[in-house]
Amino acid sequence: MKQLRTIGLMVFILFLLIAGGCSKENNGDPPPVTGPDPVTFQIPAGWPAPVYNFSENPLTKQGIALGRKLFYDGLLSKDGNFPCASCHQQAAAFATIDHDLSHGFNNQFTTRNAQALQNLAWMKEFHHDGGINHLDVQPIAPITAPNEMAETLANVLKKLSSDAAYRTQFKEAFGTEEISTARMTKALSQFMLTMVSAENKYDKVKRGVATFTLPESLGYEIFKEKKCVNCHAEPFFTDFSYRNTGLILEPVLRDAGRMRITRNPDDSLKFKVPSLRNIMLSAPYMHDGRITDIYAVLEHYNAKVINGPTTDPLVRNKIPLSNFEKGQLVAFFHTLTDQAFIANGMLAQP
Amino acid sequence: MKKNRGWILVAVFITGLIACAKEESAEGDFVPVTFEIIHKTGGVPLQLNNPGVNPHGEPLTITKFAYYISNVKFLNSNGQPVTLTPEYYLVNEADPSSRQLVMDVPAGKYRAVEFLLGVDSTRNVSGIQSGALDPANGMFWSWNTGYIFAKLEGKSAVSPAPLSNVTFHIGGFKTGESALQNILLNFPVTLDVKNSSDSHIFLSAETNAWFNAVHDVKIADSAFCMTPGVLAQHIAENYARMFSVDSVSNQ
Repeated sequence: MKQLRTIGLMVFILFLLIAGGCSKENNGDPPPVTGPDPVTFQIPAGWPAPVYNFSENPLTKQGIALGRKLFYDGLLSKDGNFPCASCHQQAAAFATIDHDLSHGFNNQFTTRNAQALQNLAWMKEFHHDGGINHLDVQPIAPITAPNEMAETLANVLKKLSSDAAYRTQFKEAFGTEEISTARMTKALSQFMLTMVSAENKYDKVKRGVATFTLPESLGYEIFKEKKCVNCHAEPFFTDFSYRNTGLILEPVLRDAGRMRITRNPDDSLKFKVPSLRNIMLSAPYMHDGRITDIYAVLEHYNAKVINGPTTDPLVRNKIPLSNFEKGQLVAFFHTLTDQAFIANGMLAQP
Repeated sequence: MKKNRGWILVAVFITGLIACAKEESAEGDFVPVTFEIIHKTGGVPLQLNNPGVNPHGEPLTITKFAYYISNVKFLNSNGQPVTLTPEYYLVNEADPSSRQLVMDVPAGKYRAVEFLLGVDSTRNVSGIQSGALDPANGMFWSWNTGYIFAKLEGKSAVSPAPLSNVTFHIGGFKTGESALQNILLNFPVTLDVKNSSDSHIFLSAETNAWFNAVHDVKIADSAFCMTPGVLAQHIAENYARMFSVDSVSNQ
C-alpha cells in the first residue's frame, strides 16, 4: 500500500514537472485572485470624447490610489523635497501658488510657469510648447529635469522597488509586484486623469441649474464679442493651439516656445493657449508667469501687445477693453473657478 | 510491483513528450536565428574608452555606442518580405549580450534581411513603452517626445564642446525631420532556416561610417547633435551604411 502511494506521488510529481516544462506562459506570478476594481471615467455632459485612450490604461480604484500616492511622494525626486505636488498644488488648480517660476532641486528655478492640471484626458499635447505627445510619458520630463526633480528613472524605480508598501500597491493595481517605468507613469496618469474640473458656476449655468449675475453675463457676452473665445474656446476655454500673444522675449530665459519643438521660425514665441478654467486661482499668468494680476493681463491685450513676425492676427490690433469691460470679464472669470475641484478630497494628499 | 512502476513512469514520460511536441508544431515552423553583431572602428573591433581616430584624422575616444533595431523582415528567394513578430532591440556596445539578437524566423530560404535603425513613428506617439523601449534605458527625449535611435558619445581633443565631449544623439520621427533609416543587407549565401538548423548571421557595424559614409561630419565643426534636424538626418544617412554581413552560417 505504502509503495503504491509512493508510486502515485512520484507519478504526480513527474506530471507536474513535465507539464511545467511544456507551459511557456505560466512562469510568472500566479494571476491575482481578484483584479483591481474598475472605475468608469465620467464625461461631463456636452463634452467631446476624451483624447486619452483608456483601453490601454483602464482606470481602477487601486491604480488611481497608487498614482495619487506617487504624485504626492518626494521619493520621485533626487533629494526627496520635490514631489509632483510641490509645483502642482490643488488649491491653485494644480499650478504653483504665487510663483512666476517654480522651484526645483538645489535652489534652481524652472524656466516656465507651472501649468494648472485639469481635464488632461482631452489634451493631445503637453507643456507650454506641446513637446510631449502623450500623458503617460509626461512625468518623465519633470522627474529627470536637472532643475526640477533631478532624478533618474532607474533610481526612482530602485527606490520604489525597495519599498514594501509600494510593491504591494503595484501588485494591487497591476497584478504583480513588478515596478516599471510604464506602470509608474500609467498610475500617475490614472490619478491625473481624475482631475476633471467641470463643476464651476459656468458649467452649472450651461446645465440650467444656475444663473449668471448681471456682471457675469455681461462678462460672458464681452468674452465672446471681443473674440477671446476664438482662442479660449468652450468648453475647455482653450483651443489647444499655439499662439504668440505679443509678449516681448524675456532676455534671460530666451524662450522661443513652440519653435523649440518644431524648429520652424513661424512658431517662434508661440505658446499653448492656456485654459481659463480656474484662471482666478492660477496666478501669476503667461508662460513664464511675468504678469501677476488678471487686470494686467487684460491691459496687455488692451494696450501692450508687441507686434512681431509671428504675433497672432487676433491680437495684432490689440483688443480694446474699457475698465468697465475688464471688470465684467473678471466677474465672468470668477464663474470659471471650480470650488468642488480644489476641495475634492480624492485629489488631496493621501 | 516493481515492473509496474517502471511502466507507469515510461507512460507518463511519453505522454509528457507528446504534449510538448504537439505544442511546438502548433506554433508553426518558427526557428530561432541569431544575429551576432561586432562593432568596429577602422575595421578593428571597437573598445570603449580606447583612444582612436575618425576617418578625418580627428582624435576620438568612443565611450558609448548604442542603437535600436526594429521592424525586422527577411526577404525570401523571390524577394518577398516575411515580417516577424514586432520586436525592438537595443544594441549596446557596453552590454555584449545585447549584440546577440535572437529572432524566431519561419523556416525557409532567404537572400536578405531588412530592418529599421530606430523606432518607428507609431511607438514614438503611443505613450509609455516597456522592455527595450523603456525610457529608463536612456534612449528617450523627455521634453520633445521621441526615441533616440542611436547614440555615439566620446571625447575628442578637437571638440569645441565643454569637457571635449562628442555627443551624437540621433533621432526624429516626424515628417520632414525623420532620421529613420531602413537598412537592407544581402546575404553572401542563402540563409537556409530549417527546423534542424542553428542559423547565425554575422554582422559588422563600423563606427567610422558615422563621419563620412555619405556626408562629411567633422568633430571640429559638429561635436554634438541632440535634436532632430538636418545634422541628425545627415548622421543617420551615414550610419545607415555602417553595417556589413561578414558571413551566414546555416549549420
